[in-house]
Amino acid sequence: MRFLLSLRFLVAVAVLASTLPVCSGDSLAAPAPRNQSLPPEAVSAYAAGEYDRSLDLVREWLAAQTEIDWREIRKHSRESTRHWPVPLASAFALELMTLTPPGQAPLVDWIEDFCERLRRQTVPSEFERAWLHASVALLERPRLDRPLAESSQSLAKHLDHGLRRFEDDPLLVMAGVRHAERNSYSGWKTVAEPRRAIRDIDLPGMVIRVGGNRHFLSALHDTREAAERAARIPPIRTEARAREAHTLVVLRRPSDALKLLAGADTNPTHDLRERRARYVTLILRAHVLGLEARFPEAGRDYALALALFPRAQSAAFPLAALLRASGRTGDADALVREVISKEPAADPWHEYFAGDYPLLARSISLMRERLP
Amino acid sequence: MKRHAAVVAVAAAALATAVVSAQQPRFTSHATAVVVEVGVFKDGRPVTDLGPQQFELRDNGVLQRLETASIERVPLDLTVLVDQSYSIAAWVPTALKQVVPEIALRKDVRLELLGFDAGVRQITVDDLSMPRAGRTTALLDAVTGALLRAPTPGQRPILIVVTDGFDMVTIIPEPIRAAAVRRSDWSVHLIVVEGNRRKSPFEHRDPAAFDYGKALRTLATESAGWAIGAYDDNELRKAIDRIVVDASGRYVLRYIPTGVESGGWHDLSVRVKKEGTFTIRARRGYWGTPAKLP
Repeated sequence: MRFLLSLRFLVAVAVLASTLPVCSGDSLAAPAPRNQSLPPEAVSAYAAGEYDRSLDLVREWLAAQTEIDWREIRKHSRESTRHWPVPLASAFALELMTLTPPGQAPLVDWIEDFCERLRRQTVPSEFERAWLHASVALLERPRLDRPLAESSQSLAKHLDHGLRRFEDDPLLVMAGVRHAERNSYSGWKTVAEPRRAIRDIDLPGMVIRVGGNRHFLSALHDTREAAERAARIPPIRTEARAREAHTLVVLRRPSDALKLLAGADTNPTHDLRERRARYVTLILRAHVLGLEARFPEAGRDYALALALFPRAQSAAFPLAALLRASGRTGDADALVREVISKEPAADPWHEYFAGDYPLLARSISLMRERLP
Repeated sequence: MKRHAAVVAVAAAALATAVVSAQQPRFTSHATAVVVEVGVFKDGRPVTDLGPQQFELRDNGVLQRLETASIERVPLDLTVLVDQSYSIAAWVPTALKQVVPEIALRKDVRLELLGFDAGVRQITVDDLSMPRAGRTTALLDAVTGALLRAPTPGQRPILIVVTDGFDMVTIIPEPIRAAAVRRSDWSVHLIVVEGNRRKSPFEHRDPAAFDYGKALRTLATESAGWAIGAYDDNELRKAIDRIVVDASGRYVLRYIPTGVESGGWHDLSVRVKKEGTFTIRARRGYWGTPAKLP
C-alpha cells in the first residue's frame, strides 16, 4: 500500500483528468466574452501597495462575471501594467493567477512570460527569488485539467530557469525533488482506460503489481538520490529525508526508511514549513512502525504529530484506532468526534502531494515584502 | 478541546502497555454469553422462518449449542458516509438527497451523515445539495474513523459508505486498521457508485476485478455487511433500501461458549442446516478477554 498513496493519488488525478472536459490553458479561452478588463481601481490599488484590497476587488469582479476568459484578462492586465516596473507587474500577474479556478491550471505561459522578463535583469534580486518560490508553489497546485506529465514538465522548465539564477536555492532544490518524485510515476500518468490501470493498484495491504515496470523503479531510485542530495542542505533536510523515506517505503524497504527517520527532530517549532515536514516524518515513521506491529511506538509518534497539528485526522484516526484496540473505547470515540465535528483541520499528510501549494499564501506574503 | 487534549496527552503512555482489555460489547451482553447477529438470504430474499436448531455455529471451530435464535427488530444507529471527492460529487448527491431525508423520517432510525474527501466531517442533508469536490481522498482512513465512534447503546450500528472507490492518501497501517475494525461493532455496507456505467470493481459486477477492492470488500464481509455496485439513482435507492431492510430484521443468536479459551480472537462460522443454498451475513469473529493486539 503504503506507498501507493502516491500512486493512487497520481493515477486518480490522471483518471479525473481523463473524465473531465479538456480544459487546457487554451480552452480556458473558449468563448470570448466582450469585456474582460479588470476594474481600474483594482489595478491602481495594487500599484499603491493595497494588495489585499486590489485582490478583493478582482474577486468581486470575477464573481459578477457570467463568463470568464483568462486569456483576455491576461491581455488586458498586461495592457494596464505596461508601464509598471517589472517586479510589480510580475507580482500582480502572479497574484491574479492564484485566482484561476481551483483544480485547473494557472496560465503557465503567463508565468513563463514574467519569469523571462525577470531574468532579463542582470543581477538576480531577492524579489525574483521570492517570486520564483511563489510561482513554484502555484505550479504545484493539484490539478484536474491536464495529465500530470504535462504539469510536471511545466514545473521542470520553471525550476530549470530558477536554479540557473539561484544555484542551490533550498526551496527550488526541494521542489526539484518533488518534481522527480512525481516524475517517478510517469508510467501511470496517462491512463487511457482508468479502471484497468486502477485495478493494478490495489488498496492498502494488497500486493502491488508494479515491480516489472523498470522505468518506475529506476525513476524511484533517481528520486531517492535527489532527496539524499537535498538532505545535505539544512533548511530542507527534514522534508528531503521524509520524501526519501517515502520513496524507500515505495521501494519496499521500510526498515531502511525507519533508519532514515529514526533520529529525526520531531519537536514543536514555529517554522510552518519545518513543522509540516516534521509532521509528515512522524506520520511516515508511525506508518512503518505500525506495519512492523510496534504499536506503542507508533502511538507515541501519532501523539507527537497531533501536538504539531492538533485535529489532523491522519494522526488522530490511527491514534484513536490504537486507543480502541487497547480497550479505551470512550477515548477513541471522543478523539474521533472531536476531529470530525468541525471542518477538517490542516493536515500536512493530506497535502503531501500538493508540494508547496499549501504554503502559497505565505510565499505571496514574502514576495510582497520584497517588492522593490 | 480540553477533552481532546487530554486524550492525546495520555494516549502514548497508555499505549505503551498495549494490553487489550475485554472489548466485545455486542457479543457478550451478559457474563459469558456471546451474541451474534446473522442475516440469512435465499435468492436475494431474507429467510425469516428459522429456529435455533436450524443454525450451526462454530466458535474457533468448536460446535456451540445455541440458547436462542430469533429475529429481533431493534432501532438502527445508521451512519451514511458520503464520498464528496471530485470524482463522485457531481452524481451522488442527486440520488442521496432524495433517499436520505426519507430515512431520516423513520422513527426506528437514528441517522448521522458524514462527508469525506481527504478528511471526514459531519454534514447535514442540505450539504448533500452542495458538492464539495475535494481533490484528494482518504477512503479507507475515513471508513476507519467512522468505525471508531462508539455506537448508540441499544441500537444496531450500521455504516453505509457511498463511494466510487478511489483512494489517494490513506495512511493508517493495515495492522492498526485491522485491530480497530475487528473490535468495532459497526456493520459496514459499501455502495460503489459510478455515473457512467463503467465496470465496478465489486462483487457480481466485475468478478475479474476482485483484487482491486479486496480491502474494502473485506471490511464489509468481515462485519456482516454488503458490497453493492450501484450505477444510477434507482440502483442506489434499491441498495440503501436493501441494507436498511436487512439490518432491521436480523437473527440474533445467543450461546455460552464451551470448549474454547475465553481470550484472544475467536473465529466464528455460521451455517444453515437446511436444504438449499443460503447467503449468510455474520461477523467473522470477536475478541475474547483478555487479549493482545494482533
